[in-house]
Amino acid sequence: MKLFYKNIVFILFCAIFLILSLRGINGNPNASELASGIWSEEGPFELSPERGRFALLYSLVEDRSVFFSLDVARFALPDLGLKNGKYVSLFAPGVSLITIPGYLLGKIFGVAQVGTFFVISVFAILNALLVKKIALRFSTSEQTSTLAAFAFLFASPAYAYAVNLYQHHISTFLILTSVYLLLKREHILNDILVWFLFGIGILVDYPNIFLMLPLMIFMLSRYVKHYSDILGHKLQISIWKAVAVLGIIIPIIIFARYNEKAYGSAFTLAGTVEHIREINVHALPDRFGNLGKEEVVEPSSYEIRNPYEFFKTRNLLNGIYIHLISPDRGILNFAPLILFSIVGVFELTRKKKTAALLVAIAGTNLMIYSMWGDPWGGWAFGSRYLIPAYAAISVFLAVALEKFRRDKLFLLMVFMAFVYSFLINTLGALTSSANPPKIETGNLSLLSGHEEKYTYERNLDYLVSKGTKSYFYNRYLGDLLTPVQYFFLLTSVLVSVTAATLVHIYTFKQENEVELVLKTQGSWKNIRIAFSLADKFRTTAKNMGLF
Amino acid sequence: MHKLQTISTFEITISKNFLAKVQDFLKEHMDIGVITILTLVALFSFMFYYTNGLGLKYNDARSHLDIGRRVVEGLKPGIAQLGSVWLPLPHVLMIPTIWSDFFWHTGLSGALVSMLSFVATGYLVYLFLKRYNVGILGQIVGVGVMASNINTLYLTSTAMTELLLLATMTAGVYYLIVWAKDEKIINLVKSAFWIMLATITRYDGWFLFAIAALLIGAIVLKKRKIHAIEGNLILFATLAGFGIFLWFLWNLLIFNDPLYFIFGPYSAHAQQAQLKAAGELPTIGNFYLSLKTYLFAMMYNSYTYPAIVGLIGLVVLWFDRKIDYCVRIASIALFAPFVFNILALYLGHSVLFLPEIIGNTWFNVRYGLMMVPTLAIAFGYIVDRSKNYRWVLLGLFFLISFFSFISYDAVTIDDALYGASQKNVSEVSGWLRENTKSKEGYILISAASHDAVIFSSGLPMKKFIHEGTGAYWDYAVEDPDKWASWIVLRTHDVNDLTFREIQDAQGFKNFELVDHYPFADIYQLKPEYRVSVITKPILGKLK
Repeated sequence: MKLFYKNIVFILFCAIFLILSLRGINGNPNASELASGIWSEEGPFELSPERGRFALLYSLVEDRSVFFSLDVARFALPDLGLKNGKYVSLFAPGVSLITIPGYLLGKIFGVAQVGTFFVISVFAILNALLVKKIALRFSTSEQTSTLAAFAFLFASPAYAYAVNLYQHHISTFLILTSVYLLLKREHILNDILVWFLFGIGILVDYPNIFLMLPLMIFMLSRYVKHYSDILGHKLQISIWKAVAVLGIIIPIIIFARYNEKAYGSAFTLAGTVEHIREINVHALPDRFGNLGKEEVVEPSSYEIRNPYEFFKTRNLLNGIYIHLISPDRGILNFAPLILFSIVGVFELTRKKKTAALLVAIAGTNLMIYSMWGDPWGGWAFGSRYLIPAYAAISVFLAVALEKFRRDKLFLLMVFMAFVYSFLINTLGALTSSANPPKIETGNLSLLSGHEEKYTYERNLDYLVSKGTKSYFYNRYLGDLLTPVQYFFLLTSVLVSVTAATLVHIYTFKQENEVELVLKTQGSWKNIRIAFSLADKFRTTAKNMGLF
Repeated sequence: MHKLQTISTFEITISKNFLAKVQDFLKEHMDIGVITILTLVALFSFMFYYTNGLGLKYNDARSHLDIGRRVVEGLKPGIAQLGSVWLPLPHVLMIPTIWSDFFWHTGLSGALVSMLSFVATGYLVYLFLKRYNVGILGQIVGVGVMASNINTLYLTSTAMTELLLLATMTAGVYYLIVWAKDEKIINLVKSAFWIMLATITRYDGWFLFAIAALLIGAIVLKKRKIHAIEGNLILFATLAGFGIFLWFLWNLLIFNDPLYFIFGPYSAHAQQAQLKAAGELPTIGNFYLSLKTYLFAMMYNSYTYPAIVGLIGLVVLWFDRKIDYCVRIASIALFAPFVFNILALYLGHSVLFLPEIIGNTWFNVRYGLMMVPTLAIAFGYIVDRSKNYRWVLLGLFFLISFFSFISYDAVTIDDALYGASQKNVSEVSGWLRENTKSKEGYILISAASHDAVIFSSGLPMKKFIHEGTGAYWDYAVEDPDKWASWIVLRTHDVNDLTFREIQDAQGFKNFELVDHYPFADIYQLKPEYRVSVITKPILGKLK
């Protein structure tokens, strides 16, 4: 609770921004309404991963069943499973289960979908907070770690996926929480919790097994301690710590129980059941339906025979290009700010052993999804699969800023990257995540008869022509501001706060007078500090070289 | 809880003496350990690919084995059978074993050379890393990167020439850096010797020879005065260039033209000219495409991640002041295969197809393997230098390796199985085996076009009259019905030497087409002419 109290301003700031950007429309949709365009393509459930997960949530809550009714099944298309003659979800159940409270709460206020999506926003805020807290563990200041958290939440595609219904922020939360626990003092309860989070991770998204692997190896490596004294080297192996594995039991029971109910066997994975792409006019499953724009893209939604077959080293080169450089998904185009974190990674090469854990998470994330057959993530905004990596690597931005806090050129470059990344990602959050991969645009252009864009230009066109999907804007501000004005308003606030923080970082040294005064502001005992502080503010502009 | 902690916490104490002994033991026996493990890996690799039938899938592998075999068996055996296109060392090294049908038909004769080369290359990677003052972990990782690469393992089990080239080139560069450090002439001589062997293995070695000469000049210039360049270069070039000199001489003596291997009818130049005419050589004159093509081949052969990390490692190595400057200059030679292959593509001397990049199929993608030892060295080096992140680099390497084995990812195997480097000649060779084995008579065939058929038929080499059989060939193409009982050729294809030579021969009309396959047609002498056909080696070996 202390953590929240101390960061209340930060949390409120993030929460306000995410509420202002949250996608949604008013109402509690029923099963027959869900499949209509207003809720699907043109509404908040624009892509099949969102629909598939909401469909399961809806069935669990409204129909008390893991099987889909015909209406819900139509809504979930084209990612629909069929088992024993019943329609089932092709996605791991974690996201649907975790967002149930949001749905129920939202339903009370007549905004069931908005409530559901808001659960993801809560996880996004927690992630930003965790980025900040982890950055602080690497001897960074409050300001630089706050900027690192902003970089993750608002200057990367994590923003666009904090306002809709995807698994990424929940997965990132599980990873960051585990990192936070493992970086703290060693305690068996922390280990139990990490095992528990690992189990939840499997429930949320199967590839989390790989993404959380570095954490598990790190944890297990701590079971063996190495000491050295005059006699020699001692290895202390704490086998008793293996009891921590009990933490995974509850998630595994939920996992097995759900699988048994839905797919008939505790160990049948969601993606292994028959894949239905269409339901015909006779309400019968059509196994050979045309692949539409939302062709299955989720790792957990393919027909799995050998789960390892999804990850092929032959795909690595293309995958790395798509994630890092490509115009349709690459970090270079969607979140160049994140690249400044590399400076921080090098800075910690010899200083902090634990930094390797974050690099391992980011590296594993990049490698796993580069080996994945569809590195684009289907129709998406930026590289959505790398959201855990953005979080892990953002921590190093704080380290880099700390290192170069007196370097005007570096700070200026970071600021410019912030501005660019804010503009791009706010655009993505306010509009749509349905950007096709470049390779699909040729055929799409032929079908539509006009040029189909695949970068953030598509989002810009959307903003100008169709507006925004923001629930808050459409409900309360639509008459006061144009969508473009709304977009610039949000971006301006983000840019202003960042600029002010960067100026602060540049002007004051870490743990200097300002922070001392702020910490003891109730007393103001030291008048000398107060005077020097006033002097600092007076000379700020001069220090920055503005005069 | 406390009681549980106490009873289930084990403490192992390793005395400093014991640890020192282990370290000494490792230091003393590391070399033999590395060699033993690499040998076991090579043996396992051969057994694996032999038993699953992939070992001889490359058309070229079968041709290499046939060339070696023709030296010791056939209608006109002898050293002249080493030919003019492919450089001779791989075939010379087969001679001690190729006489045995077992060694010939299992491919072991060639694979043995590849296996020894694999062990040597892996060991050299280890020696390189020792030279760069890399710790034991880095040394093991470097060797592991090379030895766990399925592409390397596959070519280790075949009769191809890539592994031999890797071994000789890596040895040449290794002694070059040793010389750059200690300036002992013996090391320069050793470097020259290995580079000389590389020059008679593949033409890549010729480029290494030139690069090494340049680097020697630069190193001497850096260390001493300009007059010393001459002496060192002469010493190096005399031995390292001896193989190239011999090859020119060989071509002059056997084919009456020292440049026969460059401009002869079976040369790469002639093949590339055909490809160019067909518009299938787009890299020629296009540097960007050449660079991209080779980079992709290199990445595919090394599973991308080790290549990216390795390239970063090479940059770090260049700026590492702990390593002698001259050693760093000499290390530039590790890039020789990279530059050579790009230049060869750009100048049109080489062809490489990669689906979706260039061409519609795989072809010669194995050239990308040439950089694997360099990348392995660089990977081991960067793991050593990256301190806190070394376990991350290593962990990701294990992850990638795990998936490379799970997904059975090997472009070299795809090339051999589905690419232009493969030829399914089992139908033609099967027909020959079934219909000619127990009968007397010769088969007229062009080895240049159908060596894979000769090999796969399982028939003795002396059963075939081919362009390397001297007077037998000359007489047979003039009067095929007097010399050959069967003819294998691609009808109406003038690139097939047999067809080109006999298409107008009167005797060819006395043959009947008995079978037709995608790669070749089989003709058999009509029964009424069989009485007079020659079925014994009447000309003797000297003609």
